[in-house]
Amino acid sequence: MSWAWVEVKPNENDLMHPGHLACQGCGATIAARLALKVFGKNAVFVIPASCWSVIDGAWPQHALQIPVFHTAFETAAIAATGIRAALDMKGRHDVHVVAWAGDGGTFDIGLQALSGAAERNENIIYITYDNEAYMNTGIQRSSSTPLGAWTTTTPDERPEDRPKKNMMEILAAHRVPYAATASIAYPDDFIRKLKKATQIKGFRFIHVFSPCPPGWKMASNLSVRVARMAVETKVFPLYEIEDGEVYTITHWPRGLPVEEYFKLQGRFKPVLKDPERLAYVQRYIETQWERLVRLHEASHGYLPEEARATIRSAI
Amino acid sequence: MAKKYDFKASELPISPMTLTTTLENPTGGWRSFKPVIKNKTAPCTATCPTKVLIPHFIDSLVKGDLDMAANLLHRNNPFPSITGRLCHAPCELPCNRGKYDEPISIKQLERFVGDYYLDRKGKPPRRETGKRVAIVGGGLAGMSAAYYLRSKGHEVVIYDRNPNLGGYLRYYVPEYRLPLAVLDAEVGALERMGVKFVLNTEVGRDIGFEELKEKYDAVILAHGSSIPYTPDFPGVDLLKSGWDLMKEVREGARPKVSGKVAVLGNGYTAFEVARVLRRLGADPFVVYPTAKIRIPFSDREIFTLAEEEGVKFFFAKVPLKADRRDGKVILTVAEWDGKAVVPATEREMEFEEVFLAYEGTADHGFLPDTIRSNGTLKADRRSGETPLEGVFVAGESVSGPSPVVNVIYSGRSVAAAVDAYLRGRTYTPENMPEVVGYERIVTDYFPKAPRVPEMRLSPAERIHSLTREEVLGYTQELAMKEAERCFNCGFCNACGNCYVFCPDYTIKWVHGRPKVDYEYCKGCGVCSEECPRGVIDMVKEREF
Repeated sequence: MSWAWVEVKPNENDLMHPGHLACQGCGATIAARLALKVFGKNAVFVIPASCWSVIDGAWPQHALQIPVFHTAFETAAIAATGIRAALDMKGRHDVHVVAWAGDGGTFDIGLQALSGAAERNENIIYITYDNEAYMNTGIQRSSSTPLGAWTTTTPDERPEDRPKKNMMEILAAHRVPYAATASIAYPDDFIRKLKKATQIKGFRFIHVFSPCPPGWKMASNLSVRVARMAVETKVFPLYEIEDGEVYTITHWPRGLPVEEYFKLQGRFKPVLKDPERLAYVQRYIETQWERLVRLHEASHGYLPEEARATIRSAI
Repeated sequence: MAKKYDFKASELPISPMTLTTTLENPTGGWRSFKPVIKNKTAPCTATCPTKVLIPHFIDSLVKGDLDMAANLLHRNNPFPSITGRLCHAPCELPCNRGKYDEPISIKQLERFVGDYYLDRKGKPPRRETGKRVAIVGGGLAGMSAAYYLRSKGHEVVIYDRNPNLGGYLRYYVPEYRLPLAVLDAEVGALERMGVKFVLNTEVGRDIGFEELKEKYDAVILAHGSSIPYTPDFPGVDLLKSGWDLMKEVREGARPKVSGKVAVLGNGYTAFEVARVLRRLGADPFVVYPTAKIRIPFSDREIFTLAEEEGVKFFFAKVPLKADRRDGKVILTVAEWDGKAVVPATEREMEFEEVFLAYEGTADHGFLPDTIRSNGTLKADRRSGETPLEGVFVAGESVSGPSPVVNVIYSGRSVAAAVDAYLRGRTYTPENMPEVVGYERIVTDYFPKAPRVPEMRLSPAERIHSLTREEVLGYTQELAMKEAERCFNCGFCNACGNCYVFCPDYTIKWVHGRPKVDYEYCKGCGVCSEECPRGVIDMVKEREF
């Protein structure tokens, strides 16, 4: 036992019931379980149309032991704002209002409500579990779909040719007090960020990477491994932005080649077959990473020892 | 006829509100594979002749429970302080960590835990069975058998012709390899357990074998291979005995030897005699019958040590003739191809002295003909059963010269067979579950870390002392550091990964261990994939 989770102990009770309707190996449910460990019973979830509307169970069932408000696709942030205002009126300032949306409801459809709430600095926590496409409607491309990925609307003959929308930059541009990325494969990191978020007042945004085995064309048991590989290959860096200015990389990846991540999934088959495209994707990831490292350096004035290895490989 | 409706409209549920939980969906029906949490065998345990529960004791060590670690270690190895010094450590070869960075220093950890527990062990058994067992020979095999039989509650009496127990380890192995204090402590533990010793008594001379058989419910023959083998070539009687030299040195004598000396031998004893001679100031040459690459793995470590210390070797050579001329010994050696002497390769060499250090052979003279055949014993290798009822054979007396850990295993397995015999059961050899391969280890969870080096004296320091121990043990700090590197292959140490990553919250935590809730488990396999040590298997349940 050379390592143990610090923030999560296995003897606790969960606030999520089994028997929910997620597919096998769903990353979004792992994210919700971990998040509920931080919020406890004192939270309200606002779930727009997304996988989680289904996962939570068909009427009259419910998988979480906290109140959930199911709302329309584009209204997660604004519904949460309303609930927050109502709770504040009732003097319930201790309750966390959490907008729990998928990537479609955040990156595309819910963007205007999100932008409004962020700009007004509403006192809510917005968590987006990102599975990189519209999964429960049949794997259609969203603006979160990464470069080179297959979806039913970006088929193998013409895979996604635009990079993933950089949601964190959009939020940083709103100068929100706290925005962070997290991954289900790093529970300690995720929970630390959630804990930090609960202690801040204002608009807080957490972007959780949560793999989708059916949509990513992989076996359900690889869910967590894929999430880990996404971080270690620098595809999905773990970092946080405070006040839209201070960038901190919270986990320094090993900097593995991107194939290590791609080869676990069926959706990147067209890229893996095309070395030119693969090199392009790798180059894109390197430049994005280098940019992030420079922002970290600019925020803190120095780079830790671990950073060196990851940058050298970029050149 | 009943009413058409027996409720009011106001009693109907308000439709958009939750009324119950998803616990009503037994999603276990979605499953085609089911996760099974089952401990497996680590490659180290599988390779260890006596099947020490290595991941188990290392885990207790990491958790800081040294007594538990010692208990787990002693379950299959009664003398870890001895094996921690003398074992050739075959366990470290297949270590899964070796494929990642460097293998775990299992031998040193064993020694650390053994030394910690040395003065604490030796509790008498909780209940006595009233059965009596005699053990002939108080060497390592006899001691090992005595330890396990006594802990099962039998009355154990060891007969030994020497004034103390330990056999080869006490009278021949040099102090720098195994301090006498360690052996005395192990013997003391046996004494505290209530093992009785009848010393200075040779079976066959002072007491008859038949008499033993009558007096005891079972007899274990563990007389070892204690008679040095003497080859047959002209002039062999001019040579000195390396065994006697080792014995003298162990007893404290420092005979004067200098100049070029030769050691004739075929195993551990030859290397050890050469090292003793080197420490006495001589310049030893070992005449060894096989090629360098054919030195068995069990002798590799001692060979390397000897070579470092400046011992020289003549490989694949056998002595043909010895002669004494002008106070020097002229030894004629020839090439040996494994089967016969290669013709025309004879060579004369001049030495100050030549020592015979061949491995021992067993003397079965005191035993009846019914269990002897052509100088060996008719006995089962594992259970030690012989054609005579209630008579068992353990250790080198049946296997011939063997590494310490094999001898310990022999004592342990024979003890299990004797215990079964005394209780009227049938002996079943232990079965090892499936071995965990490197591909089942999730190395992402283990940061790379170099092996904590063992503190060994340099060759220059070593050759100056016959008493100073050549390898120093780990301190507790170093032992912890090394233990933390262990993957604990195949042993669930309740790390909690399966619980943390279960998307369905169907891995429940019961009494500090994971337990699968099969009513809801959808069989995604994340727990199996994320188990860092390959404990969880996915078993095919049904096909849709």
